[in-house]
Amino acid sequence: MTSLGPSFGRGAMTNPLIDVKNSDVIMICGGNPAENHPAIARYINMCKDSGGTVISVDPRFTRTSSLSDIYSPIRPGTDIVFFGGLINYIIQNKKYQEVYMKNYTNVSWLLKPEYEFKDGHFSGWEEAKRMYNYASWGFQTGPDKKVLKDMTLQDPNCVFQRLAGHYSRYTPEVVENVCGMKKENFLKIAEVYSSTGAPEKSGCLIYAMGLTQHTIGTQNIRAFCMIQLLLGNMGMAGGGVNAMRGEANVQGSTDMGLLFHTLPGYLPSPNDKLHPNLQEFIKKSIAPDSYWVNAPKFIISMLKAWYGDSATKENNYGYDWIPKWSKPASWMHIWDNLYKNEGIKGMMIWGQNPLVSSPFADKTGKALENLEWLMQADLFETETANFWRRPHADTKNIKTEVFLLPVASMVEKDGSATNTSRWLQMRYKSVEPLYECREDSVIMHDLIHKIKDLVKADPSTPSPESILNLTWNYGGHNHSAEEVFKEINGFEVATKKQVPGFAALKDDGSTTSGCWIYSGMFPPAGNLAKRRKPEKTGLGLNPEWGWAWPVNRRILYNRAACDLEGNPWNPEKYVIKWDAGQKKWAGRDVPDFLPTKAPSDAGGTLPFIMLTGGQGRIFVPGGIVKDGPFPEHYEPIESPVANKVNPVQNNPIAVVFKSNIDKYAPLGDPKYPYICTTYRVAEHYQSGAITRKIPITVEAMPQVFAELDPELAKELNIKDGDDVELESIRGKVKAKACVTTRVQPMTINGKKYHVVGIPWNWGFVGIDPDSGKDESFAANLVTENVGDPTSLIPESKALMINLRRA
Amino acid sequence: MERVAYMYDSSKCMGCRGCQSICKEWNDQKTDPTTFTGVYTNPPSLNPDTRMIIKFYDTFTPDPNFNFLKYQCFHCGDPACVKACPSGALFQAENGIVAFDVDKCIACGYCHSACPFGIPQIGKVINKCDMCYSRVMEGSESDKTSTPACVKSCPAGALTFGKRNDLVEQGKKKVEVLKNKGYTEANLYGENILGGLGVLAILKYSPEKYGLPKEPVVPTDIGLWKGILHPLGLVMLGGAAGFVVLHRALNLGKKGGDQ
Repeated sequence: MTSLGPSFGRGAMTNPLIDVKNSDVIMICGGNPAENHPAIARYINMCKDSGGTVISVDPRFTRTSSLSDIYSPIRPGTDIVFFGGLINYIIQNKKYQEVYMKNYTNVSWLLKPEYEFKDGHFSGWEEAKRMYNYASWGFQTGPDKKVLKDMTLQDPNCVFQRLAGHYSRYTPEVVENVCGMKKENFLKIAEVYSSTGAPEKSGCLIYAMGLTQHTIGTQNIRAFCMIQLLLGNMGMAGGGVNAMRGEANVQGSTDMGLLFHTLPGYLPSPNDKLHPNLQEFIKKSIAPDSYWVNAPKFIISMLKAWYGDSATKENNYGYDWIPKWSKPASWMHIWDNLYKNEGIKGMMIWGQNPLVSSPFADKTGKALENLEWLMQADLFETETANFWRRPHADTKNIKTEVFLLPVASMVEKDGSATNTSRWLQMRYKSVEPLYECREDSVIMHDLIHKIKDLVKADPSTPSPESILNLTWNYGGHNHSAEEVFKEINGFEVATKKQVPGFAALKDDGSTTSGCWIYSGMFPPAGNLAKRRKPEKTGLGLNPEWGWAWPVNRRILYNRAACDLEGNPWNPEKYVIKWDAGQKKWAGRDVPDFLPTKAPSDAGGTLPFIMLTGGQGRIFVPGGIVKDGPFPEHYEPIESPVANKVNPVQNNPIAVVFKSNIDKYAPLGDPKYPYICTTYRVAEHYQSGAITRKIPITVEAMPQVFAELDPELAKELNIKDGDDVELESIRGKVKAKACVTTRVQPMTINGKKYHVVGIPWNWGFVGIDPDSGKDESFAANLVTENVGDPTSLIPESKALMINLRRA
Repeated sequence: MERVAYMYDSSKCMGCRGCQSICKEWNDQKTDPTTFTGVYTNPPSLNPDTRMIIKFYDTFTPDPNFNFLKYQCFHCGDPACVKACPSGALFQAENGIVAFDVDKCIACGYCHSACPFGIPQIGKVINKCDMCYSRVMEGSESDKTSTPACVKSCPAGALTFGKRNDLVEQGKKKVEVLKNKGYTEANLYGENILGGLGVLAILKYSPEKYGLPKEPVVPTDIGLWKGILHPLGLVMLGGAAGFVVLHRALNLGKKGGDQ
């Protein structure tokens, strides 16, 4: 998401899941949807039925690979080399969609002459501070402050020429040597995928955690975005960059501000230095010459939703009551803070099982011991709630008080989920919660009232208004989910009438909206997330099924699916087109464009309306993506080989935690000779907290296993079903051996390396035969606490281990 | 009444085991403790509490590969098990489904022995896939369909339920598509064998690779049993001893893949 936003303007999957059926070529990298998002398999198969081709690139031949026409293995952590090779191939062989690329992306923009990439660093590298000064990552401007462009793409400083130069190093030979991908495989994939550069063709890229969980994860996706912009695949039916979200409502929770650095609707999270007051906050939220000029309306409407009548112009609508962050509080930062006992005293964990799911489980376990109290709300007992009796725990000396709150499952409550296609769909309670289980929202309701009472009773509470003034009008203890949706949608303060959408929001305090991008889901006509009318367009857009943000658009940036005159690149699979008679954009989807702006109007050919300049970013300026304006390959923090693409081994600004327990295997450490990657299996959901308690799924997939190739198995005398032990510099985990040709040894720079895979769904609380009695309990005992500098996602997909019979 | 069937397309299956799980769930089958023995297939074979499994294969080609087979009763057009059943528990419905009445089952195991695949499992009584006979005949009230549960559950669209004649036509076309894609061994399993199977399978590779007999045959003794010995057998069932003797005499006890 941290790369989709900077590239296109919005941090969201661009096309709906069903739309993959419209693709000519689907390429799946670093994702295993057949196992983890099986609902999409039907549409992948439909794509194949209508003549489409499916490519799968993954370290292992997965269940998804079984659906593919073309497969290639790749060494974990080297995806940018493969994608860079593709970009180079597209440019060298002129496979790009030329009109699209020139007009809809920033390839023509002139870069500052001082921008360069040299000796493994981009310009602005400050060795002493180990960070970049981003001043040179920008564009030349004329006297009118407008960016200079060269539509002939000949200027040596134009983005296109710099792009071509940057990726000229990524030759098919480099791809083969670094990725372990055979040259003929690479060329075959490059030929097939780049065929979607033909204007009427569309190609779809699908990814998941296999690309994001790296120290260069954001740049992996950036490379995806660039390929799609070059080939003209954005906005098209059957195109797009499509993130398979790992949980049914991850899209919804990030939309609502789950991450520490965002508020609902992807407004920035207030920082004490950057945003000391409302005026600064507003100023820094506006991106000129884009739709973000409306940010003040969204911000003030959100504050009015939170603080109601207490929020007035005089008190800056309550902005000063919101806590501001001063240091990063990403997932890894939280655990590092807790491990070092730097201030966190208590923790509420809702439907999460971090002892299994976080990197480096030993650190997570020890961190939990520093808590005074832990509240866990979940369906079942989890490893996290039982951290005090995990294998090797010093139980007697752990003082943490643990509260386990049994919550209702998704079938025992009303609510909604926002799926990976950005569709909001209501779902309904089908049975009453069992025993003492209660809905999360009921627990939350009681909690907020208790907290309000405590704050009221204690005059010494700092900033009591921030709690006491919060609105909480959802109908009492057993409230209705719809009351929450009404607040999210927003209403006119004076009349309490629902607003029709975010275009009606105001910056004068007369409207509210809890999350501007969802405004329009509950207009006066009713709750649109309830709609269940199957579609008729044939594309699978289903405009009257549920509701999609923003404004029910199903395919983002769909103006780009038409040529400069407004005619669709592919008339059969058209999404929208310019109707010269009616003087408006119309078609099968809501236009992602001002509906009345004609192609001949100023800005009528600039499809990326959320970005300054309206053109998709091949080059991302100003450090918005912190580790480079173009993606560049760096080796994973733990790697068997030196970086052959440039002289810098690791991402120079990767987030590497260095507490007294964090350890990393040095380059080529003979004690850890094998490459390891982690993943999930279809039978178990996330940390397995639910599925390891269900007899049917446990019967099908009872125990944790490690996959290795037959050659390595022979060398180590390991047979199918044997107990094996994986050991990294941080810890050990036991598993059953699965010897299979689906994992292949790889030749990197002429030397053979073996890859071992282990799923992370297992723990020590469950009904599988070995749970509870084994001293090792989770794949994350071996993974590490390092992460991507922009997204702060940990690198769980590439590390070094040793393997032996246990 | 026209014959119904469902078709499994191995080229669309991704081995997620939604079908295996829903089969247990819908038919209220017990689970057993299992262990990971090195392959994904689990339970390792059909058993008295397991009517269908997905079998996993990764040795079909020299290149990395992963192949799946949905394995359960194939609902023969000419079902040997029905002929072998001495108590009338097994029957073939007018629409071709081979189902059973547990109340009539005497757990003799002849069906298992007679089946060319060895599929019917005998615990206290017989157990095997009945193509969700009750769902197909009466419809499911909860989900408003009348397809077998596995077909309903398949997220990949690898299972299709319908009139058998239509499915055979569709299947043949798909086999041609696969052959054109380079799967030279592609075949429609079950078009003509054993009176035509009620579970058709589009296989990417030859049936033998999946452990399926290319030309399965019903033991000749079955015809004999049905014509001459069956009436005698019912008389003999009066005594358990006679039962055992007859069983041994027919020597039908050691065949089939899943014992």
